[in-house]
Amino acid sequence: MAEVIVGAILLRRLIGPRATFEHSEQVSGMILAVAIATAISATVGTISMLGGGVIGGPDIPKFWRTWWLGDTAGGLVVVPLIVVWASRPAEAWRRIRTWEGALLIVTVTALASVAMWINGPLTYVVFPALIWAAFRFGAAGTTLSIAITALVTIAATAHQVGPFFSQPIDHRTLATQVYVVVIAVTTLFLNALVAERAASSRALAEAERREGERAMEERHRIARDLHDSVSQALFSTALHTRTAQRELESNGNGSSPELRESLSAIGELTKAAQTEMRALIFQLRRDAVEAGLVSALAAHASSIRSTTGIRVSVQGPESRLPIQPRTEEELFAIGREALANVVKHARAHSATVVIDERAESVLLEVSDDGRGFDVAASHPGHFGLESIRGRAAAIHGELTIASESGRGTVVQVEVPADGR
Amino acid sequence: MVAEAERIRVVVVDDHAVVRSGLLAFLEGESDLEVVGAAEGGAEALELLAGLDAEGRRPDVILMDLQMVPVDGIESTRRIRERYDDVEVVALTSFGEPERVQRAVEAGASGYLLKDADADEVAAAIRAAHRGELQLDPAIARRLMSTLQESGSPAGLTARELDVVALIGEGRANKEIALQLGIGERTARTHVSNILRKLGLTSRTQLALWAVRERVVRVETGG
Repeated sequence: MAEVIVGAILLRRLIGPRATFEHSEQVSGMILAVAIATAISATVGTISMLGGGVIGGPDIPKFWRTWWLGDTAGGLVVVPLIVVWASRPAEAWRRIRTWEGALLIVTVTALASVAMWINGPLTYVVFPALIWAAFRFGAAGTTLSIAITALVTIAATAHQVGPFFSQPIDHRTLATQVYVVVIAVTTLFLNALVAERAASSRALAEAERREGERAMEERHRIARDLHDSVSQALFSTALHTRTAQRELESNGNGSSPELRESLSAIGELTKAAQTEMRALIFQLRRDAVEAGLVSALAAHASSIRSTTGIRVSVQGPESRLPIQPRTEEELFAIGREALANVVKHARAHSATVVIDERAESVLLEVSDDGRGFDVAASHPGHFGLESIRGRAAAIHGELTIASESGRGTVVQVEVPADGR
Repeated sequence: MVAEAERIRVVVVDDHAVVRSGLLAFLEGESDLEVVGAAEGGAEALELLAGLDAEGRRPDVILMDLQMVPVDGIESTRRIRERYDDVEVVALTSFGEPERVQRAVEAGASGYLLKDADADEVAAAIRAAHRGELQLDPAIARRLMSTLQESGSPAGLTARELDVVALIGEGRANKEIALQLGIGERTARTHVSNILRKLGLTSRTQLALWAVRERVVRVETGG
């Protein structure tokens, strides 16, 4: 009993209650917990055997080692399998339930059997299949493949076949145990590293996205500041210049021609500066969707596809949309926000973005095939939806969000087209 | 020099001190304009107007910056037009803000100026607003047209009011309307405010668009 309780406590402390084995710390924590718990079990067992006179003093090290390694090998196979498959059975099942998943299971079983039943130095032939599992099927596929390999190995050894049975009797058990431990440890760590790599590339993409947004916000802030300070001052300068010119004219024509020229130069320069400022502010405000809403969203979609694997397709007219740059920018932000929700919450395989130019409006629609959500319920902390609502209101857009549990989500914004 | 009584009384509302100083300097030098006050925000503008009204110096035209906090130019325009329907508002705005201009016109502004307009255009816009003329970009006119849907029908208007509507639809100023109908300019103004109230509209601009859409044309009664 003691080792079960200790093991459970250690597991909880070292890897947490809902481990995913997607971090190498969780894998090492689990290995440590299993090793300590089984050491207790082996010690208690050895002492009771010694007390019962079943074994003698010289047998102690070997007896303890066999007990401990056997339990550890079992633990390393069973504990992750149960943790992963029992805590999120539906998710685990979804990862395996594909043609490739079926092929993996067949291949692992076949190669593990080849390693055991075919005479020859083929013991480690199962590794490529295990690597395949780690790279493509996450913790669900990895733990399952390890369990299949262990099962086949134990069955073979029990049926008195395989490379380990042919070894001297003393080594037989040890070899089987070490084989299972090596397979479990290696594959679990490999899977954790693959998951960590994927997580860090997601984090990097997210950071890049944020950086891009921050840069855009910064440009908008600069545009606002220029508008609030420099543009106002230039407008005032133009007015003062005109006032001075008028005074000069009304005070008689004899006054200084140089002064008149200077004032006229100030007027021209101010006008030129205003034009330049206007162009600059325009540029700063609109460069996010420089090439148009459709191509901006298409570029964003392809970056999502490459970082998350979610298939995002974008359909829309190639010609310029009949909406203001600012509206276009807000629509882009809404599309980006809706896609971020798809990535973060929907667990979707694919999403579709449609931009439709209608008679008097432009429609943006983002739909996905994810798990959906309850639109009526409040979603504290989901600023995405709030931000979409705010942006849609700012451009007089009509926002519709429809979703049904298990049947995906559709976000639509329709904005009035320009009269032009 | 234009007589005191005939000068157009102007109030400038802008939260940028530099802009106020430029506008004041320029407008004060125009012989037919009289700047009766300046305010740096919507609330101050309403206070100023109440004071001027009490002195019997209600302004004719207000130059209103739209981008102000906390009470922005649009809300200020609405409040001013609610209280003083004979005060015309000309919105001062930046380029690339058609939504804002649209909302300002809906709130009752009769025209708008970009903040990099020439000084002479500023003066011209004030005079045009005073004459009751409209200045609208076609894009904004179309946007406005689409928001006019729930306004009333011509049924509730008197024959004289329908004449006024028709003339406004032709883009006529109050003075021309008065001349055409053989009434005083003040009477023409009163008709305009009555019509706006009956139709639930806030500005001449909306009224003109409404007239065009409802195809209100003047029926020549002869004589």
